[in-house]
Amino acid sequence: MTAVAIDLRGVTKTFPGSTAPAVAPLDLSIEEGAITVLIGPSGCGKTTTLRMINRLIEPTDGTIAIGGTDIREQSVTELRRGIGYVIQQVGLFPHRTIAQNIGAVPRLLRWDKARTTDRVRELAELVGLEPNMLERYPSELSGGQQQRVGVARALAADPPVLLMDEPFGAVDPIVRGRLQRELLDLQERVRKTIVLVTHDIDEAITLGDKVAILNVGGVLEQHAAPDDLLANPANEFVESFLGAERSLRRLTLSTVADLVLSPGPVIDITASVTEARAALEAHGTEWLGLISNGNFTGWAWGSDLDDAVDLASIEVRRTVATITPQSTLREALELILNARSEVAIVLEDDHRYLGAVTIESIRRTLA
Amino acid sequence: MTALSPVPATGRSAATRWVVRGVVAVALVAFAIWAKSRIDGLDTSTQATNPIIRWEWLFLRERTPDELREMTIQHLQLTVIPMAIGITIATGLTLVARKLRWSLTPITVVTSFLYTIPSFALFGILRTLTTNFQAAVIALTSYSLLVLVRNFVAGLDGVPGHVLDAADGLGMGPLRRLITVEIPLALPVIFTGIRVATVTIVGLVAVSSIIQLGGLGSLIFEGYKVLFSTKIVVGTVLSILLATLLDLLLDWVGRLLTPWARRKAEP
Repeated sequence: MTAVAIDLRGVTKTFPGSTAPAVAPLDLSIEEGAITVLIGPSGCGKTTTLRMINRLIEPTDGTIAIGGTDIREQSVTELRRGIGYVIQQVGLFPHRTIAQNIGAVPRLLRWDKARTTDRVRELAELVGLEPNMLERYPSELSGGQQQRVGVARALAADPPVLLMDEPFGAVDPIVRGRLQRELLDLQERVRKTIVLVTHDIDEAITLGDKVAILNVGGVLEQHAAPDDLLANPANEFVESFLGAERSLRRLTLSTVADLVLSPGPVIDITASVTEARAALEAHGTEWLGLISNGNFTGWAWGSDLDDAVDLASIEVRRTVATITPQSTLREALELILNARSEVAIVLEDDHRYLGAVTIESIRRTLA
Repeated sequence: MTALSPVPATGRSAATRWVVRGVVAVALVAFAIWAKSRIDGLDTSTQATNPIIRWEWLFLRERTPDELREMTIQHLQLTVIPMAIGITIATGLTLVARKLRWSLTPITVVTSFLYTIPSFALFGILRTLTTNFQAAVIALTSYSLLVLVRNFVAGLDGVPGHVLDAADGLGMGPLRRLITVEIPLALPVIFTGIRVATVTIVGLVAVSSIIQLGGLGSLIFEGYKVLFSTKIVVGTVLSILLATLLDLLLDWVGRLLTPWARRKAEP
């Protein structure tokens, strides 16, 4: 099934017995086939908003449309069977085996046995569960394994939309990191419209294609891609919510390919020794990288030039701080801080020279 | 464990259970050997003047086996029929209490009140209104309700909220959720209630001997009337045996229905 967009228009929720709305009139367009993260302090109505999408909570006012169709046009149970739902405590059925848990929605949809069995096996493989776990009960699985089962169960009927309420909140940080990476891998393959609620800003930045920051009472403060959010917070609330480590967080989001690379202290080996000395002077370094036909061959100290007739005859040194265009700026910075040269050489396919990264070039990009 | 506790007996480990079973088995075998030696040595002419048990009444009197069988069957009837009716009524009351939360308090008050009426009085009062057998069934049913309703409600209340949330989120309707999720998960507590109520009723059946019923209780009652201790002892022992057997049977059925409750996480 192809992914669909979700549209919230003027969605309001006021709980009985309370005067202030939990969610103020909220307009939010959730992109199809992408992960949208809802985040904010407690009381911001992020979970309420999520639960209004599958009508576990009925909005007081406003409309929600999935793929252009108002969610009230279907029966509640039909609607929910077409939306994947994953919660923090997983909520697996303790009295059902893992296979029966994963096959819960197909069973509700009256699929025949063979089709359900095939689908259960397929999903177990997709989320990385051993086939021998299928006949066990949930209590026999670890927290991380249970959460994988929860995701598999949500995906069973191949719904276009997946709602996840703090899905990784109950597992330890190491397992959480692994499950986050697995979700991103999974999303590469299934391309669902995912709405995910979290209170962890790092998780929001890691997982979100878009992040919607909500303030108390369901007020949407900013809805943007994570890098945009970190670079241009809309207001003081967003800025304080993102925290003091805004720049450091951006380092993990941007890659070297996003940088304007400096040419770096390099010279083509066809140049003369005199030109090489001039280049050393110009870059103010004690060493020079050598390029042959666009490939980085190595580097040499300034003193290596003294006895050289031409650059091609110099015996180049190999060890050098190199990275790829796909490396994050955080990795680049790490490398630069540990390299005496204070630059990282960017190579494509392990040899083609693209340029050099300096602390200054990273700073300019984040500024 | 008190009779009203809605907590399932999961505290006992498998090891403890097997030790208890072992001790019971050894005791039964020892008793059988001792009884056999007494029977072999029976001689009507050399009876002690007033022993607790007259073995010849138990083993040599021709009518005894038939009488005991009849009484045991009546005892079982007076246990199983009230329990079946009690479970049906308790199920209804539980569903009402779930739908209308406010009704739980009046339901508890009424069933508690029934539970506190002295059984002697209740059998006597009901006897004036209907037949002996119906009076006994009504009285015994009313005594089962408090324990059953409390455990049924506690069992359903004990189903974790996140499991219900997931069931709703997957698109289960309320009836399907009740039948396929809530009741199965409440079964351990429900069965604890049924076991406690059953054992209580087996004990109470004896009291109905005051209205010419009582199953094995009528044996005890006769024993008192004619000061014949053998009948009292035999009636008591068989009644306890019946309660124990029914308890074990229900425990076994309960375990059979909840295989998932035994499995524990691997270390």
